[in-house]
Amino acid sequence: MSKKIIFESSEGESFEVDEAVALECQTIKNMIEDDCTDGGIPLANVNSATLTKVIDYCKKHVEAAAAAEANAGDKDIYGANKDIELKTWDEEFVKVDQPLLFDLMLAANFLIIPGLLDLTCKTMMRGKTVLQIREIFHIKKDYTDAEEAEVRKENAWAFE
Amino acid sequence: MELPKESILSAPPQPSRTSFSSLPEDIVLSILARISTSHYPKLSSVSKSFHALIPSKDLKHARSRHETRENRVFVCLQSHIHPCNHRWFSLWIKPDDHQTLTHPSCCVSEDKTTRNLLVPVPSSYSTYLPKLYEMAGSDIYAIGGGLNPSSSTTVRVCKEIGKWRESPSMMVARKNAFTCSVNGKIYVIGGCESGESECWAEVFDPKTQTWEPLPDPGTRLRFSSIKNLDPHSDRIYLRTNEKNFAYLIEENRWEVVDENIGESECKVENTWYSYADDGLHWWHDTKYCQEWRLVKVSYGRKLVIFWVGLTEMLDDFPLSLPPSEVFFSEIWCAVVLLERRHDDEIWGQIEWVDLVLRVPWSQTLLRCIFFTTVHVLFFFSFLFFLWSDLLQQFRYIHILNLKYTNGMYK
Repeated sequence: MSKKIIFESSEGESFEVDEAVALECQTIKNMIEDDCTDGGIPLANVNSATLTKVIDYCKKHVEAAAAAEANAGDKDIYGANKDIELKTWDEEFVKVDQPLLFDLMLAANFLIIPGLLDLTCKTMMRGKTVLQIREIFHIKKDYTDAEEAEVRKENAWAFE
Repeated sequence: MELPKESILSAPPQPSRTSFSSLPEDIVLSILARISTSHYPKLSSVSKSFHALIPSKDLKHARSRHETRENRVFVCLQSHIHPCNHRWFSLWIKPDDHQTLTHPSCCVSEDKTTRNLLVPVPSSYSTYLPKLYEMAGSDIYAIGGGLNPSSSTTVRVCKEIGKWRESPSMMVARKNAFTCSVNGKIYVIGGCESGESECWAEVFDPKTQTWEPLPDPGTRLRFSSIKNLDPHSDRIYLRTNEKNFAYLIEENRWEVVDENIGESECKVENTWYSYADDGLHWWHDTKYCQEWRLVKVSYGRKLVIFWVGLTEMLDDFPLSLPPSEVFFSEIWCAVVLLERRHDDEIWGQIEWVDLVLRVPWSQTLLRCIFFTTVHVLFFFSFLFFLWSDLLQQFRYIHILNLKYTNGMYK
């Protein structure tokens, strides 16, 4: 029976996971090593929906690593695993709406899950227009119209 | 591209209130460092802070930290009319729909399909010019200037990655000179005024840390346009637009070479690649075969090939335009995936072929380099440049001045 770790989301909901799964998060790994996980780990800036997804991701990647035990030693931290099945799973995994994707990215950054951080960053920028990027990431346009026209002109080739 | 439609039905997430702009800069850097640089031109247009971050050293360092430096191909064009007029471009792969360098998908078409382009340097995509590197022993030397003539030479001792220090300057300031290393010495040729007879070429000996001039090769070589340089253990061949020349190292003299030394070749592992008049790749492998053969389809490796295509006339032009601006040349690029099927067969699959740049007719391809600063491994055999990329196993070659033309191109 493996050791369990308890996460607590921002809403106060508890999530019990195997230690092996929690170890996917570098931040948690450090805490486990320092032996300060008793009584659960409160994650005040990760909501339940996001945490559920994060745990799904870690579980899948622990399983995949176990399945490919022979190659487990050279698991690629950037998620660029040669395992096509896992890649396909990852691609499906990030087919979520933009706010959740954004939260996943922040959670991956906070918990230090390099594979997930890489996956979410790459997915987020894919195929978006300048306006969409501003809208999704709540980025205020700080260019004046004239400045924007100028920058657009410089990079016109990228918008063809 | 449309946005993903799926969402988690059971637990609709609350709209995120987090704004990208409110994130600490290190997180923004971490994010920008993980995405392809192909997105940078677009992101520059999003906000002033992105516009400032993208060319920054911080982002460069972040990419280095995350090991997300990307391979990039730079191409230099030279004007026939003003040989010292060099322009650098970098190959930009349009992101999103075409993951052309990673996913094999064949799209050979007459139409502009990939939208991959050669983009002038500097731009939001490539903010600085590549330097010329040469290895001597385990040290890497960065030589001269790319945009402005410079005599500076810096050295990086391999054990101290990221640390460059000044080494003795060349005797003459140069830009885009031709370099090679033979028997532990670094040869630097041209890149200065053609009238420079005292020190048109020079050689650096890392042991004594001194530069010495090579003898004057004569006006014929100095005033011709060098296409590439091919170092051997006892001599250095120079292919030019006129004649071919060789510098004999032992004898310390230049000579004109009359024998046919080939147009351009590229070695990938133990196989040589070349390009023939019929537009096909041939290969030669010392182990299996001693003759040139047709490449049927270069093995889990990629070749990037550039050539000058048709020269055409503008449809509408004012009569006042000089002829050099009425005609333009098309620069094409192809990425070929090489695969060894049997010991004696190599197949190449074309991933994409496209027109990547239109330039005035007077401009021609000068050189091509592959640029990265992670563990620099540059094999600078000028015309063909290839680099072994341990991560992606890409190989790049460059074919200079291919007259691929139906008689249209001069």
